[in-house]
Amino acid sequence: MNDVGAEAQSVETHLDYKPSTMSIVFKRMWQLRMGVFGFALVLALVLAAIFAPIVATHDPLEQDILARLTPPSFLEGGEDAYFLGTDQLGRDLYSRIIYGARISLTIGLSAVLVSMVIGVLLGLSAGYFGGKIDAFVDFSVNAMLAFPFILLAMTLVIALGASMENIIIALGLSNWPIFARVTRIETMKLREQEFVLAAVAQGLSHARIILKHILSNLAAPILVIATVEIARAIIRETFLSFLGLGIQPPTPSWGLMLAEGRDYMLTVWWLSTLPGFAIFLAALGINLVGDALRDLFDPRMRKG
Amino acid sequence: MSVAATDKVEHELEVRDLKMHFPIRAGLLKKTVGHVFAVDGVSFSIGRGETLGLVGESGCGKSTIGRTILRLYKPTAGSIHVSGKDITHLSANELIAVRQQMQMIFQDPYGSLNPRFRVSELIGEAYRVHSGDKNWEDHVANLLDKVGLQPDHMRRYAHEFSGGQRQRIGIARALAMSPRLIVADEPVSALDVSIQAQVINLLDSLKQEFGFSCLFIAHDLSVVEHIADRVAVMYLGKMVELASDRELYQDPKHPYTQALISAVPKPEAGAKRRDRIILRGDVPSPINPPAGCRFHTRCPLVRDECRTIEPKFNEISPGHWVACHLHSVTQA
Repeated sequence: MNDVGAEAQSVETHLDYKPSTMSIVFKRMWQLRMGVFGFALVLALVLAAIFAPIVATHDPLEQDILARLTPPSFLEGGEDAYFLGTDQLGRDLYSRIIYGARISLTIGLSAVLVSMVIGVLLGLSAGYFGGKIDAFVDFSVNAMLAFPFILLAMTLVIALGASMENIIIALGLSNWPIFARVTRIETMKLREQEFVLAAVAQGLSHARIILKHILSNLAAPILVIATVEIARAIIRETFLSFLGLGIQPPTPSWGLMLAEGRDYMLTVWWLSTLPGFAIFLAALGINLVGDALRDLFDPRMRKG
Repeated sequence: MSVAATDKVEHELEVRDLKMHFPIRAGLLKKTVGHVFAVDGVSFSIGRGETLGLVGESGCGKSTIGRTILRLYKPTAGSIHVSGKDITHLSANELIAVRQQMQMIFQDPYGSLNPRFRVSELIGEAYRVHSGDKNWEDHVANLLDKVGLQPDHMRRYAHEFSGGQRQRIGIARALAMSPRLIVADEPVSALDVSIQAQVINLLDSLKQEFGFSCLFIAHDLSVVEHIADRVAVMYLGKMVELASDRELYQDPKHPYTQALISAVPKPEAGAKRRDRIILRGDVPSPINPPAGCRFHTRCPLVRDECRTIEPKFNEISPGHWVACHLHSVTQA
């Protein structure tokens, strides 16, 4: 009896073996380690942007001509007051990079919001109604994609005038096709599903079916694209600013700082390198979060 | 019995010479290169509270009939009357009111429920929108109870239920608007056999309680046998036979119906096996249906006239309609 009982018990404990909660959490985190890293980067970026007045050590516009081109404090000749050194007008580089995060995030989020609204609405109507609307949207998407993006954005900025709002409009108007494309295809697939047919059979309006029944199933892919597009919009803003078509001085924009540092590239390398590094970290963080979101939403894409 | 009775009462649904042809488009300019003759001239009616079983092989057009009746498609020709009202040419806006009287139960218990909605929304949305009832959740709870689910299932999502339970949700959704006509498009063919009987019994008792008329589509005669008052058999877009439940099973006239019935196993122990009629060949394409009788390519009793002349759908005895040259003599 006892022997049998002990044996049964040992079998049972063997069957009941479950990895501890902590080990599951660690395993999951390791799988998502890049996502966690990206999330930390994005969080730091957002916090820096929101609490810029607290995080920054100086007014980003305050000039100290006597201290111009001071090297970062960790280099020879650096001063403790200027952690990352100063630029050609003696403005604190660290504070300017922190304030630059505000500009970059605002433009990135707003521009993607503009293109998302346009692209998703066009994609939904094209995919749902088909026919002439679909032909029109499909043609517009192809025409837009055939046009060099930066040329289009530059033309728009020149036509509208360089200001933050106009950069947002230019970036938003030139980047909706990617949203339209994905939304259109996904909507076409969903339209054939029986639950959409059921909604039609119940006498629900097209608007309700499109904006509720179909859109609710599109949240995941749209969110993933939006994340990646924010990073691209930030890079594109810096590109426009670098060309002088974006943010105008003295507003601290990463792209503008990059451009201003260009003249001193050979001697005062940190002037352009450090804002460049900020752009790199921001884009990297947002892209990693986008990848992690895609993995979470689509188990088939999950890496072993 | 019910055949004679239903012909006298008002028809809930009347379909006359319904045709649904889908254009096949090809090439750059999307030119129409042909048609799929999915439904090609079908007439029938369903009386108030009656259930008509519609049986046929895959691709014979039976689902298309169901969807065309609900005007999910625009019919090519013919007419559809629901409760005496012609709905054949109604616009999308006019249809919204009509659609509350007729509902559909779908075949796929997975694809027919939106995965992002809770059960309360799945069942109650249309009712809430159309009626404006603030206590719509009570209505949903009541419906869940009627179809054998718990009212506290309301907060769950469809993926938390089994196939049979999902189909019950689909039935509750169809009942939500208190429709007078329900099109059940193979409602049990995706379910396990043990669950099939439960769902059919549920439909049967709900029919008694709510008194709706029903077009019950199936590819299996044995499923229809239990629930239908009358049964119609379709082959390649045409109706070949229509008779009362009992008459069709005991005295099938059309060779195709005979073949289908011979395939139904008898459940009684020691029952003599019916002589099995095995049909040769495949169903011809509905894009290019055969001339004459559409069944002549596979009919074991084929005659010369079958290859050229299309048989008429004749009433050979009261309530028993057949489209076959072998049985047209009695009509003359």
